[in-house]
Amino acid sequence: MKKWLKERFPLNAFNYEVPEHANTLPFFLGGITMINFVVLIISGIILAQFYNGSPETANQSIRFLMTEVPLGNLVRGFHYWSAQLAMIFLLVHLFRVFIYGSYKKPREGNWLIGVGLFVLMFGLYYTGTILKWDQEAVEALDHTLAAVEMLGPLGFYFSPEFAPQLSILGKILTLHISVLPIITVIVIVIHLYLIKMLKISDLPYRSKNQVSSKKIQPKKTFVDHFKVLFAYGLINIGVLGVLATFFPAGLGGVPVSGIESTKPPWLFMGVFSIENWTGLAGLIWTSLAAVVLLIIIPFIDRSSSPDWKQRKVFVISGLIAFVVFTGLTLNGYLTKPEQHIGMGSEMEETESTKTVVKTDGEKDSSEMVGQDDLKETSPEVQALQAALTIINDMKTLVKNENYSEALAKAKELDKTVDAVGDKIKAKDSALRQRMAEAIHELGEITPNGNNSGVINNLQIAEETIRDAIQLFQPKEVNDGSKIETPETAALKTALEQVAELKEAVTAKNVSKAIKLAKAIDKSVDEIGEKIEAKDKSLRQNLGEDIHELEEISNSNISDPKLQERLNRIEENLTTAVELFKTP
Amino acid sequence: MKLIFKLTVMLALLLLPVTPLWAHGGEETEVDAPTLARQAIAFLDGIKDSEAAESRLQEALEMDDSSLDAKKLQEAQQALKSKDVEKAKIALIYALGSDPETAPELALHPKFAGGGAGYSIIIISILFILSGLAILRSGKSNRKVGINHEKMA
Repeated sequence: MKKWLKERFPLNAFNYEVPEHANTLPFFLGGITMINFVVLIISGIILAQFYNGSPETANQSIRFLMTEVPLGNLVRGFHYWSAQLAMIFLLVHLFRVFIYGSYKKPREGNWLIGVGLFVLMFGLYYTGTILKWDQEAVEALDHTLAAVEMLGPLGFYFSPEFAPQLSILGKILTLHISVLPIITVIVIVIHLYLIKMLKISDLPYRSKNQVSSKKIQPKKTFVDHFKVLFAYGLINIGVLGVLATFFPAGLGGVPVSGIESTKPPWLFMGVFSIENWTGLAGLIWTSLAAVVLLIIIPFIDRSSSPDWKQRKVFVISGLIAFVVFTGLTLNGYLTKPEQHIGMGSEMEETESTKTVVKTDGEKDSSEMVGQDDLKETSPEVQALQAALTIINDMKTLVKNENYSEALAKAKELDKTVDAVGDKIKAKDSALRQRMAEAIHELGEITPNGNNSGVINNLQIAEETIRDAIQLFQPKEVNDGSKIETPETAALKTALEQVAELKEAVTAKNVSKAIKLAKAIDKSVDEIGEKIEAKDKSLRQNLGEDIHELEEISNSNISDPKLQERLNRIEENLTTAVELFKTP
Repeated sequence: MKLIFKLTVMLALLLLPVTPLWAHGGEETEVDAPTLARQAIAFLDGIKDSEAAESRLQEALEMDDSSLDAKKLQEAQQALKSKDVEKAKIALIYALGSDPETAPELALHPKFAGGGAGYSIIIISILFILSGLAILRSGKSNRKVGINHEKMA
């Protein structure tokens, strides 16, 4: 049986000799990283069964895994901690190879492959943190997207022009679970093959055995080496089990836009410090510089021997780099983050799209809206006017059949309008719906396809945006002044509250719905007598319907009659507004 | 000459990170009251910045938005003043009309739950560690035995 197996699985091929020092811990760091990579793949496959890669539900799907799925926390803990250990061992492995000069001739190529693996592992770690889709993830993604804009064509994968039908989270998910792992596995195979062919590097110093005597050492083979690696693997998995059980991975809250309220994971804390001082561009250039430095090391360290005595400059530089990296990391933990997004050229906007800013720190008036005429208009109107400008540009582009640029403009339009989407919705949800649908259709322009509906959608988008501008303009009343009467103001507040209540009902948020029902009652009560004076039956109908709203509960929140009642209240309130417009 | 070149490259790359190249800015659009409340929670949950949270909270209160429970907002403000961050977060969640037990705005920090599965994993993990250490130990003793054999020979 043994013979049969040996013939079919000639594992003796691995029984080649390895140097004695290959069986010491510094030469297992890469192997332990690989073991963690295997754990990451296995745990990642399990996690992927429960992950929903859409921005609306990603965070919730992880919450479900953590709270409802048996051992879900444990599997996630394994994934999280193996990622941390993989990166720690990878960094130490890289540092060991650098200090030992293991990249020297003829191993320069394998060093470059190793640098590639280092970048790939960073990519995997980074994309993994984004998939959580919590505050920290979205802030990290915002940084990347801003950086991508600065990189221009190099960042095409993340640009809206590339696969516009896929959300950015979808793109990150694809990178994390297929593109990057597949490339990493291929590169690991090449790395291992080159280690086998070029053999394990020498020590940069004379070992005790070499110094003390010329004793004949028992020969060590790769199988012996593998046994020790197996032992380290068992210890590593045991440690992972303990960490995953006692310290399960946490998850941040669902993201909220407009702030930077988190710090990145430890791995990025060093570059985060630099970003805090120099801005977003500093982050990009430092990261690029680090990779370039790693690439050129074998080509500037040309001494033939790895001996430390002959490489003092490099060894000392390596130690300084380690101290600087550690210092930057500690500094990152100790300092408060600055607001970075919006810095540099990547966020240069047209004056018309700028909105009044509220920052945590000092307010710089030079960053405020530049044009005097815009100061008199609200941020909503400014954004909507910017949207109209984009639509005009799109019309020209479509006329010239320049669909790829029109698509880019459509994305810009979507972003511009989205910034005030909630405000429009609060005033007129139907209008917001029509606007969103038309803009969404515009986002599906195909560079070379049939775009027959584009003109129509542009028309709808323009009309709805113009209507929305009216919603935010101060209303002219009969005397020509821009003052709204208390009655119309109260009724409009009530209309906004009804729109919000509709949303709460759709979301089945009973507590919010009850709160809003009370608020509507209060708003209408304030001018109840005035409405009654103009139209008694209208007041009565409104009063009855609003009174009924206070009965909202879990059992009736899905009742279609409730929706009908809300529509009726909305109609009656609109009628009441008209009553007060008429002298 | 080569040494100078090497030193220059190393120095340049080491100093690059600390060059203040770009000034800071900040871009925040005006937001509604519920978003301000969520931002306050994010500041408390994230970098524990009570000051930033308080300013968001103040703005939310000034907006007098009916979709937020003003009483709870005030409660959160009081809690922040008395440095009770946890209480402030809970009050903010209530102000948003959510339940702190299930609110997705709050971070989840799971803890060791014990139970059969938990303790089994701990025992298995310890067995893994001990097995690994035993293999390493046996490898070392084999090496010593090997050396002794060499000496005897």
